[in-house]
Amino acid sequence: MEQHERRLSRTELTALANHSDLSPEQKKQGFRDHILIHRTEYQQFLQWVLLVGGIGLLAFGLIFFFAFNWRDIPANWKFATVWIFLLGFLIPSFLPKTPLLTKQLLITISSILVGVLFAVFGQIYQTGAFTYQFIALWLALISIWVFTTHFVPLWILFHLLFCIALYDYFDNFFAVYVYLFGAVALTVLWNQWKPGKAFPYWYLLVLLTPAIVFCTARTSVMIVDNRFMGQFSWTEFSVFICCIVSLFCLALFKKWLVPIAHIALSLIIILNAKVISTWEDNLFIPAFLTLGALVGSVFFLIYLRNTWKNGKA
Amino acid sequence: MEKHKINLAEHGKMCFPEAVFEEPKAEKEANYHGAHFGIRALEYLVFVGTLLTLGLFTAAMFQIMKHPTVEFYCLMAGILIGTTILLHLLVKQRLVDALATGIAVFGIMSLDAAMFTSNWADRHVGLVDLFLIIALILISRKNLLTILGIVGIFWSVNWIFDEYQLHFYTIKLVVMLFTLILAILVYLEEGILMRFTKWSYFFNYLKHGFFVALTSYYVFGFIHWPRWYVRPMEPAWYGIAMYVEILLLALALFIWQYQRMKDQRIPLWLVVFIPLSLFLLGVFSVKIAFFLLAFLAFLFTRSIFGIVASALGLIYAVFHFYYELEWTLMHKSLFFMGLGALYLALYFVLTAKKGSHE
Repeated sequence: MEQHERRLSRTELTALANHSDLSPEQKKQGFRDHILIHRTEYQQFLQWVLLVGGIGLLAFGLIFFFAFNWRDIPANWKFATVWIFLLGFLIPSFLPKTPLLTKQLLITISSILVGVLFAVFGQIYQTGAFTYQFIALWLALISIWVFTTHFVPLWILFHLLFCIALYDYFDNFFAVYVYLFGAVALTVLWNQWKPGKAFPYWYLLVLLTPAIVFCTARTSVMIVDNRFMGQFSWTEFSVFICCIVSLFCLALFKKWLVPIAHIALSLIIILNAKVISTWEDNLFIPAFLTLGALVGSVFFLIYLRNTWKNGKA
Repeated sequence: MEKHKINLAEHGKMCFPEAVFEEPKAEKEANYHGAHFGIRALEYLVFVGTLLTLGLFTAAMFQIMKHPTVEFYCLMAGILIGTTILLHLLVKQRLVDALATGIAVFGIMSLDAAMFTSNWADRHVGLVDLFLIIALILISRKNLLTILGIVGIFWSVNWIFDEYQLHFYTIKLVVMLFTLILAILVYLEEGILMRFTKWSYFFNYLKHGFFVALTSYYVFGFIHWPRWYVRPMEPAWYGIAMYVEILLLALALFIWQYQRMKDQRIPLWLVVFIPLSLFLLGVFSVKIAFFLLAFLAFLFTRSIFGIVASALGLIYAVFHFYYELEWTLMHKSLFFMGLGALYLALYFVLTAKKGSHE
């Protein structure tokens, strides 16, 4: 079988095998051609394992080596060590012959090492670790790499750090989910502007899912128990509604089903939070309400699924 | 639903030009079992929503009846489990399957409540749960219930062993047994497709179920579970046996790969010994060895769910490894550097060999 020919999925092959006159030998050949990996893929896999495993283990070994002798190393040498590692990963990424993926991986490792450099600085000068200033400075220094490299794992690291910094500064999830919704909006705009360099759908889901989890948890707890996470704030509630409505419109426009399913569940949970806190001695009301909302949501999703031609799950 | 259906006719004929297909039946089946557009989002909404709704109804009923009787629990269990069975037997729709699975969870919980209210011993409740889940899986043989059911069986068996205080039968033995079954299901997939084609979907779901059950053990099993964590009577070699089992299964996997690629003149050391050397890390952490084996096995058989889940598990296991390893930093350092240098050397040998062939 040609390597680039479309392969049958497991389900498709089984369905064909179940409803055809294929002999056991043909089924076996079909399994080997369509399900098992081929020789060239196996060799590529081995090369990757050896390269990534080799560099990774060597780096681990060196880190442990310096960690073992850390107390005895003078402060200047500690900085020098991290700098050597940092430059060791960074310089090859600028060489013209380095393949793109290797460059992106090297810059990602360098970005992590910038954080290690600050951690060493914090340890030596006792500036206090894991504060928002530390992460903000880290973000500021790696942001140029993040924007120019256009590598999804590096972007995820960037957002993760940003969320930690925001949580550390504001001490709540409100700013975190607003930031994540904003990141989704900007990503969608980018994808429209540069379709050739568009971010994948799974990356958007990685941003959207925690955003919806955080906004649902914060808003529902804010409704149920004022004391636990501060007073109920209409401003915050309005921002939440704006985020959800914008995402819903965006999902409808882009034909995304998973975000709509997320929104449906989020709204059901928040509705329950309000109803339960109001009629806490009669839980049949929220139960029936949930049942109705769920049935409605499922039918709405089925309707969308049947209407859309090129949607994304 | 027409717009998103999997179209098998054209592609099937291209792959098997001489075969005769019953196209409508094949397409109907592929569309039922396949992960086509939107089905995952809908399944997720229906399953989580069912749990939420039934949870609220249960809480509401507890408001009316302060102390529900055994009969009430039995009636609830009967209705819910009966509904699950009927839905699974009579309807072949993915969303209904998700609904039935959510109902089954509450059915089993209601039966447990009935047994606990009647002062049954924990071990007997565990046994009833075990047989009930097995029966439900055999009746359903569908995606979600099979996967969750196997996870339920895994923890029920451990619960029962723990309750019976069978000193030599511990969670590690169950893990070894499940690992063996998982490996058999992966390695014999080809044979199942050839000889028991009608059962291959079910065996595929079983495979995912066993993998998820073992993942739940390797991710959560070691943490804060005092009775299972410390077993003074447990033989010390169980940990080694777990590793040796994984090593043997890995060897079997690579030999199988080698047999398959024999006619393509790929050397034995490349297919068997290099990948096997990866398992050296497993000496220190069975978690790493398991996720590595799962990752490779799923990669060789191209199972996307397995590849992604085991890769995430592997990352978790490597991070956890640092805390588990009771070596000095110097020993860790030397071991890692040695292994890293070996891999890089092998990489260059492999690249040079490839270059000379070309």
